[in-house]
Amino acid sequence: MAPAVRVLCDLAKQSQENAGVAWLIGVPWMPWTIVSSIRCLRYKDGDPDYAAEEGELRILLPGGLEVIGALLVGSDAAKACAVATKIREVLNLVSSNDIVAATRSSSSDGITFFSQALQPIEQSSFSAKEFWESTALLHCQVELGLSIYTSSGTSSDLKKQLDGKIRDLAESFTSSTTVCIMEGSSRSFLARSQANEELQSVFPDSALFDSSIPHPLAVKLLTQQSKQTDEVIAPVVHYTPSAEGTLLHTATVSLDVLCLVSRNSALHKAMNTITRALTIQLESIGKALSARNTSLQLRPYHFKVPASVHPVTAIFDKNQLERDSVDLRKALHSRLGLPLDRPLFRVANALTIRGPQFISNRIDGKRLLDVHLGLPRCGISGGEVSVIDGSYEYYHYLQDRMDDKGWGCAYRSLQTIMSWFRLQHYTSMKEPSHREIQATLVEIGDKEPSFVGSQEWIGAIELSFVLDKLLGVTSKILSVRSGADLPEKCRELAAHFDTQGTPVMIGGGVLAYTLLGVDYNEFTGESAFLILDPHYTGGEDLKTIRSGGWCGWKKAVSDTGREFFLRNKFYNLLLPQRPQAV
Amino acid sequence: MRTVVGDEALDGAVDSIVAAGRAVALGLLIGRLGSGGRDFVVGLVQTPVKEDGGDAAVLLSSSGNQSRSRSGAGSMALSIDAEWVAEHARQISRMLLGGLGVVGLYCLAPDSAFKQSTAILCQVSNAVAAVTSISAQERFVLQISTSPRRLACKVCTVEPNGSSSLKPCEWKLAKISTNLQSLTCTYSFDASIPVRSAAQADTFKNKLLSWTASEIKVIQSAEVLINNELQEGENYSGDVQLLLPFNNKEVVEGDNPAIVTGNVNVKGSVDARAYGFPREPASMAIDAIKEDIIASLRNRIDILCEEAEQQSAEQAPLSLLSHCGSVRSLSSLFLS
Repeated sequence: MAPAVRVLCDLAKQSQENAGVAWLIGVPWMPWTIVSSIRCLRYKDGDPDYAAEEGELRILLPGGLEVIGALLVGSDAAKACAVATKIREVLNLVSSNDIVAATRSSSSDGITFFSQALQPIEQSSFSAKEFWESTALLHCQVELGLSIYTSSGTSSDLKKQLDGKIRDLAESFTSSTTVCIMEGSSRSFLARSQANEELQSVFPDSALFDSSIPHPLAVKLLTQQSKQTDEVIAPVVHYTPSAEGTLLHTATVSLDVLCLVSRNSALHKAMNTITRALTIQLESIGKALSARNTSLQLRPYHFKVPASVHPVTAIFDKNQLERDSVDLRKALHSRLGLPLDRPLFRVANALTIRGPQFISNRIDGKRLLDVHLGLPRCGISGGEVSVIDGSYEYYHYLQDRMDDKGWGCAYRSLQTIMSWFRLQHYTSMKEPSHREIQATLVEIGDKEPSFVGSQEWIGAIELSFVLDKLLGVTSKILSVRSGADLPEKCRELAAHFDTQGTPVMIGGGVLAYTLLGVDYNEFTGESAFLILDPHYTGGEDLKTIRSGGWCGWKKAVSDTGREFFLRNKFYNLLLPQRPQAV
Repeated sequence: MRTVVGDEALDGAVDSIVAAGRAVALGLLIGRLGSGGRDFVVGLVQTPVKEDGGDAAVLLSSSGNQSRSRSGAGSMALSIDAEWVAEHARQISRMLLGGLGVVGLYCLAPDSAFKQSTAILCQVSNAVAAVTSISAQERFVLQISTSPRRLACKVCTVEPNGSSSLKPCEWKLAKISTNLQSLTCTYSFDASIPVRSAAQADTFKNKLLSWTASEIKVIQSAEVLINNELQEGENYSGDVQLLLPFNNKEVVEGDNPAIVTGNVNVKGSVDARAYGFPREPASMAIDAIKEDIIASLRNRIDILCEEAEQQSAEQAPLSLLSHCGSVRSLSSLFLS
């Protein structure tokens, strides 16, 4: 009887609705554990194109991870086993008895697991925390310089030499003079490719981060100078002239790998995982340089996405414009089953590994971020909460020495919304000032030139114009004749927060607010609104902002019967839509 | 009060100085300035006679006459040729191995003369400090008195206001030379430096010097293996090997691809040796051996550049050059 299979990712969400294959990924030291899943994208005559998949999977997955099975939709377990066995062969993995086959019918979400002997097996639970308790994350960066001499007129010679150099470099990763130093928490460890030392549990326990990845252990790849191999002579200098027209081509290759190893792994095995991963990246980049252009600046980047418990790697051309690499990013989204309406694989999203920590790019500023986080709910019994997704900066009156008290609330709300688009990497544009907002409206012909510099109010419609003009963002406008009708729109607002997750601006005949979420009981009709108030005139003090109610839950009808929204005024709500962009 | 530890063998050296019977003797102290820790002296080197045959240090009576006799000292003071002493110190300093430096002066003189000569002694001490490679400013002055036979050690420090003074130190003898940990290293290199036709500054000498500068940076930041392992624990004698970055990337400015007219090939090895003193952290000895490698490398390259310039004045193009280094030994530096 095979043991139960443990699953760390949401397989149902990630597998496609129609027929298709998803590779199940795991690690050799934890059999029967599905760590993540990667969809197969390349097919040939209905079957996976193994050769094409092999190349892409090798780059995408950090070292140490392997394909341990396959999930097929609308097919049977035997086929799943066969497909998984074949890809493992192509990837040069040792043959295993622990392949997991999984099937799913196209009509339901339920997944059934089978062992290689086609016996059904049960699923048990497993957490990321448990996974990282026995797995360590290693990080290694190497900068390689290549110098190639050619005589003029023979460009094919360049390609041959480049291929040769790449091969030599790959071989030298495993030579006896190459060593690794791994920096543990209290001491460093030396690893060689062959070793005769016992197992050591070197890898320190590291705390998990907000991005739920442990501290990576830095690994340095070094060459040991050995006097046994070189002949020892006194220093000699001589000058060799070159033939006429000799050219020197230089290329640099930047390698950056992440590897997962068991915490109990022997040092030389960990080093071998690292050198294998480096070789894979080197060969891939080398092929691209050879085929296209030696001055390409290809760089590996690592990304942590919610769909996967471990990071993934992608190689981008640093000189290429973001819009030209959109196909690669779309492919990455598809492989991980990620929605296609939010950028997750732009270079700005990449993990920056500095010192012992992972940091994902956050913007520090003078404004507070996400002031609503951690607020307690306000007591709508049986209500369901839907709030925005992602981060924003809190804009309000009197910031940046701009005295907009009494008229600038909608402008501030717009700035908050635009900061959301910047922090979610849809744009790198800084939020416009009041003047710039007004100038935009004049530019598109919505207002007269005298509007610029005035203290006139703007409403949801004007905000939608500005968002469209400056960011290319379209918005939906919801209108209600009376404030009393607003709670009825809650279902629509909840759906907006659940699918779009963008902040909403409430305006109209009255003051403007930013709406960050709703708490709604659809049976009783009770509702509360998470309001971020731009009329605040104080300093960036979270405590004051929360205790003063400048950010907080407002019940549509308070316990004393007071209505938050005025029933004799109309309201327009601006619901910005995420652009369909990755 | 600082403690200066002298090697037991120094006793014999001091005996020889006293036995020579001269009224005044001056020389250098060889050892190690500990950074906040203990200071060590392991050897004495006599300042040689000047080119004109006179001594570096003489006794002058108050009337300015030289006096060679020990008796009738009266109000005598020392007169020392600071420049000569400093030049000797500079040359000795270059010959010393890693971990060792010129840490001060010794001086044999009548007590009374010594008391009158604080200023000149400080001046010489500072002059020596200026030309020797240890970064700290202070140097020791070891006073040797004959009647009674006694050694007193002082340190010459520079005050913030610029004046110098001699402060007393504790002087102890201990077995040092047998307790030194020795590190050796053979550092090899084999580089091919392209000479681009377009760059004006690509002369032979510039290429060598810029290569040397980058090689020095690599050495300074290299990890170190002792006896093939990462260093741990108290005992660290043995063979040192440097761990260099894998396939170090060279920064190439200018066109790519660039037209090259030739390559400067530099290949060879330098031997380095350094000493670790008792109860010092291994890192100090490791820094010392790196310094020794760098000093050796610099010296070799300087000599090669000089020869190249000589040769290029005689003929063009440049041809095969070689130069053999000289072997240094620690024992020959001690006063015999």
